[in-house]
Amino acid sequence: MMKWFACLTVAWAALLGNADAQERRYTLVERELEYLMEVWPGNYDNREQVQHDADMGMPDYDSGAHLRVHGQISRVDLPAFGEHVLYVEEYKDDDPTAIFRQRLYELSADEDEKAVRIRLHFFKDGETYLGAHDDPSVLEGLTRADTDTLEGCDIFLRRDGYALTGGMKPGDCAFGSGDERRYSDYQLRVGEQEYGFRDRMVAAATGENLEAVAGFQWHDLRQARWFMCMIDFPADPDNPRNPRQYTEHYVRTHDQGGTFGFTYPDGRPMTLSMRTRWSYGMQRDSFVIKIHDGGEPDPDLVYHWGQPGDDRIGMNPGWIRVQCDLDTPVNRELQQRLRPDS
Amino acid sequence: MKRHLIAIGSILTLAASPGAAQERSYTLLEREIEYLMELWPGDYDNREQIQFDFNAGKRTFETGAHLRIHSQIRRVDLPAFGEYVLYVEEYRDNDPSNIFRQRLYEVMADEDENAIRIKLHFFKDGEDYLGAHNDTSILKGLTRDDTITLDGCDVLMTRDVDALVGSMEPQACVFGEEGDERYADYQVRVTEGGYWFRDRSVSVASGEVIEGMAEFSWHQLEQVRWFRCMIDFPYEDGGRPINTVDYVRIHDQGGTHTFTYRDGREMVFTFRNNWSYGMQRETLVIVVQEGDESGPTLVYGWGEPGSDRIGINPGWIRLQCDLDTEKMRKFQDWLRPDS
Repeated sequence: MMKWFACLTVAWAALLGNADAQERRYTLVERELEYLMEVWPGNYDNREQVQHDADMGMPDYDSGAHLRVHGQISRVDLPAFGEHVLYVEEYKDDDPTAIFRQRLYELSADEDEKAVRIRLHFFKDGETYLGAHDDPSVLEGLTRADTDTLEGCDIFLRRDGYALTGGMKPGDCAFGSGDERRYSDYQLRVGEQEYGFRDRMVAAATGENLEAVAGFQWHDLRQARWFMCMIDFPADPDNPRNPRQYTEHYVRTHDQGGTFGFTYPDGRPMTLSMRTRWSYGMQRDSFVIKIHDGGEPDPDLVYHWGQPGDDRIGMNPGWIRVQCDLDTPVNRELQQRLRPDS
Repeated sequence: MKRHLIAIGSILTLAASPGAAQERSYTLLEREIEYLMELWPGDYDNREQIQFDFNAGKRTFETGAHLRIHSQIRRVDLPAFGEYVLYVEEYRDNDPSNIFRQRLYEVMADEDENAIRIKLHFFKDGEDYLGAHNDTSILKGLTRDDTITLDGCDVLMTRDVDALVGSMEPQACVFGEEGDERYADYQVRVTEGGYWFRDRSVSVASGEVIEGMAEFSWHQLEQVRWFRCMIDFPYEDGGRPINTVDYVRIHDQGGTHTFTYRDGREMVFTFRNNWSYGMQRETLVIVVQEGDESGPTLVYGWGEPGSDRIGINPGWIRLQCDLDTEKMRKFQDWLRPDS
């Protein structure tokens, strides 16, 4: 009886052990790592920086402007790569198909370096895993054999005020030989709601920049908030006094330069844009939605603004109604129920 | 020498005293008064309650709707009336000249009643003091001889969780001719962001309600926030609205401003915090309508309640509203809307 009871106790303890989080001590670097895993995941975009470049007379990359980059960082559960793993998918020019960077970041606490160490994993077959930030199950079964890493190309992040900043060790991420030998210099800065990077390729022999994105200036990406927007058209366009409307589109867009192109009932192409503009509102950012006649840089037909951080924004000039709410399950359900002319 | 030093010390102490706040202890009731004096001053309006009455089919006072009341409550410095004094000026129907109530409230701690006591002062010549909520200097020199108080008509306020609620003592505020005596029953409720009241007069003899607004239900006024708005028109037909024709001070609990558009049409600009219209929540809305508030809606935009700015530009008009602060006023005055 006693043996039976002891067996039961052991089994019970094992069960409990699996269910409970294991208590442990954390070093300072491990705490920084936990902090990073909390603040970094999210969507980021540098739409405002690109606008600022344009306002400064740099309308494109060739004239010195930053690349328009949208970063999608998500924490993923891949024990084969360790406890702290991030999936990174970035695209250019507001085009989710123009992939700019796709990596798996294996993060660890490097006590010798007193830094958070990031090992960059390059996918051997990246296309297979595209979209994993929205659907991490795509990564199921991924092994180390499915990625490549490069010696000397790890990134070391350390605390710098409210951010964690760092890069590769100078000259270590080298490749090529002879006069062609060069090294990569990729640097990161991650803070609450911001993620920056800069990138260049340097000639090992001369120290000359062989390639540098935007002159090795920081790309400053701001964390985006996602909204669900209803786009409603008049049910009776010939009678502007008739307030009846119907919802033509439910659109997911973000407040750091998200856009959605659509066709108005009269055939005109239009674009809805959502931004958190720098300083245009004087001494402060402004949260703005616009309808453009054509594409995003084209003239606006109507715009409306509010305070950055607002959870909703909407407008109705009579010929269109746009209702945007922070993308949450409650708001999605609410929008689906709501007849816009009610 | 020693005596000389002591004398200087005494002079310094005397000199320092008037400027320094006097340390003292506070009873619980006195703390409640301090809380009330912090909480209550402000502007309040029940525009949304009126809308709900309207939607429920109560479109006039006679059909059971509440009165539309805008209340302006300010703390004033009138030592003749005590340490805690409030000036109250309320108007009806969104018309500041239509005065509904004008009082001076003398607020004190009544330790025997365990309540905050408010003595209501009625002005003998109220017109002289209109607008004192905006310019308290109007009240300078006011004495107790300039007001009337009525025995039994004090309001006693006590704590009710996160509110202070008050009423007159039952059947104590009696007035009227012999045989037609009646008593006033005035009640208030003050919370953070809200001020409610209800009011009736009751026959002493029969207990019948002789006058009662909205069936003695609460008038629920919400605290307003003041905004300053630029109204911009185009210079010419089809042009962009870049000519600021007006700077308007307006509040977010039903504030309105009427104007004439450049084509001669009358329009009204309204600022509200709609109850539940936005589904499951309030919504901060600006609207431009043709004619008056019952006219067709020409454009509207909305945001989150509590937002410090809101603006819209449908092409033919531009409205820019910022929380009314000195800094934002200066900044609006600088800003050319086409810049």
